Amino acid sequence: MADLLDGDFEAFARRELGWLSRYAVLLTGDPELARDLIQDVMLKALARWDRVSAADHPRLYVRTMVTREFLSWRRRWTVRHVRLAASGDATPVATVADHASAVAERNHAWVLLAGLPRQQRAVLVLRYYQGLSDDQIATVLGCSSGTVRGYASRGLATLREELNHEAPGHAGLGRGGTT
Amino acid sequence: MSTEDLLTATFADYEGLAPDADELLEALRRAAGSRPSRRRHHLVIAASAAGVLVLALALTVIGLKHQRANSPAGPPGSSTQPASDSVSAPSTGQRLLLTCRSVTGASVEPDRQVIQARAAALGARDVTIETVGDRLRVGLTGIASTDVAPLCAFDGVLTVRGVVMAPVPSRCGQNSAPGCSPTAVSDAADQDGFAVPTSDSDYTALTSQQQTDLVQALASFDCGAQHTPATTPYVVQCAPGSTFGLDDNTVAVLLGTRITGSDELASAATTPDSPQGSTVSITLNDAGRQALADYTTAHATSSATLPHIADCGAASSQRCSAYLGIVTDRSVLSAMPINHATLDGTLQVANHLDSHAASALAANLQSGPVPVPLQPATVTATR
Repeated sequence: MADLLDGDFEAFARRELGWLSRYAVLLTGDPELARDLIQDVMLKALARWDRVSAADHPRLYVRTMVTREFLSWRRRWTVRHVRLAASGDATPVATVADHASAVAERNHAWVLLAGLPRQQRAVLVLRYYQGLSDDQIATVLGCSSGTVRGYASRGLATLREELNHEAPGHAGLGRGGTT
Repeated sequence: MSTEDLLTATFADYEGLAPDADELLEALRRAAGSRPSRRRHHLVIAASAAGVLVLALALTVIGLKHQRANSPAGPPGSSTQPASDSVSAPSTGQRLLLTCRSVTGASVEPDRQVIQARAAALGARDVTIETVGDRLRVGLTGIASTDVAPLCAFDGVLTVRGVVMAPVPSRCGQNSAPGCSPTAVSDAADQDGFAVPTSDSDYTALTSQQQTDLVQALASFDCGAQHTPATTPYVVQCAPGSTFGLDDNTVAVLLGTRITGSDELASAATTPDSPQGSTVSITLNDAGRQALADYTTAHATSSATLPHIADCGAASSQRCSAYLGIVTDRSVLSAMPINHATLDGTLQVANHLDSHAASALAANLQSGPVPVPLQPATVTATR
């Protein structure tokens, strides 16, 4: 079925889908939504491949498409996705208190991220995962840098407040060991 | 850690959830193959748009008639539920989807009934369970999202064992610590030529050098490694120091011969919250009641006050067998002093838990162990 995709597009997709997938899962918070998002965007990119491939940086063009598609989704439902143990590995939920508390803190942060408005979440992902400046984020979102700073500020404030307010994890849920 | 650093760590941790790129490419090929041509696509869009307009007009007319027929109650649309909601969450809560994964990679089909029972014990509604290979997916409503993951976080195994020796502060709380081993205790015993003690009598019979070596071996027991259930008459368990009233992050304790446990469990329930937290009480069947009565009668202390468990044995005149180690899965939940013989077959298996943890623990114990150990992978909430 490879011939259903344009050769250049297929090469592009093969090269970029890895990082796009990781970016999309952090945006959406859910692997299935990330899959949908990537597919929607890549089909659009295929439909306008002439324009995408002519861009100075096609990968950045597609990242902008993914981001804006995510922000424009009109779904009746919201999804919160919590990874409690890494998929594909054998990491226990919690082994001992200190390790468990770090895992629980990241789990907690992940849950809180899912509760943020999409714009705030997107800004935090672009800033702290992709490492973009506020000006670069503004270009991706199509808004002003001041708006970006506002989203980031509100998102971080919400996270700080919730993280200080709630203690993550549950007592007694860990797995210990035996010989 | 700052919020910014926490975000960076969280993103680094969770990017691993990303769908596989090769699968995405294959799905893209399939979707491109089923995609209409651009001209046909435009026609479809035009037809769809026309259809949406007609549908919107029809719904508006129906809505107006509906509003006239009923007294106003809330904002427009609030009194109607789209048909699609019939498979979604009721208005009182969200539908939660939990995916659990087999720890060993074995098929999880044998776990279906136990997970169903656990969900029911927690008061979940509309429970659906699907098993696919080593994954088990549970859909449910009616319980909090924080209560969902524990459904498959416990093996649900309860064991009650006598304490052999005072707990030892662990230097192996982290997997990465050098020199830590999950077989540290048996290795030390093999090297010194003694059998690992299964009672405090056995322990006191060891030479002082053997006791010292055993203490060092316990400190080197790898608490972070994955372990299979013990087949030996003793077990080494790790727990937060607070379980034993100690300040250490992690301690390791040697527990002796099994006294009773899941096989003799009659019921498990939570008691109402107290300022100290929730408690899970279990009641044993006749066999369990007898075994517990025998052990506690033989080991009940005559002292008015027991020394701290960390001081049992050589550090005091109190034998360590005057404590029961109560273990669920592979973690010590409490170390109970035997102040008197327990003849009624009841035990308080956990103290100071939050109510969510206590409810989950009671439900999991009541429903029995899962045949195939599971661990939670993801929780998804839709509303």
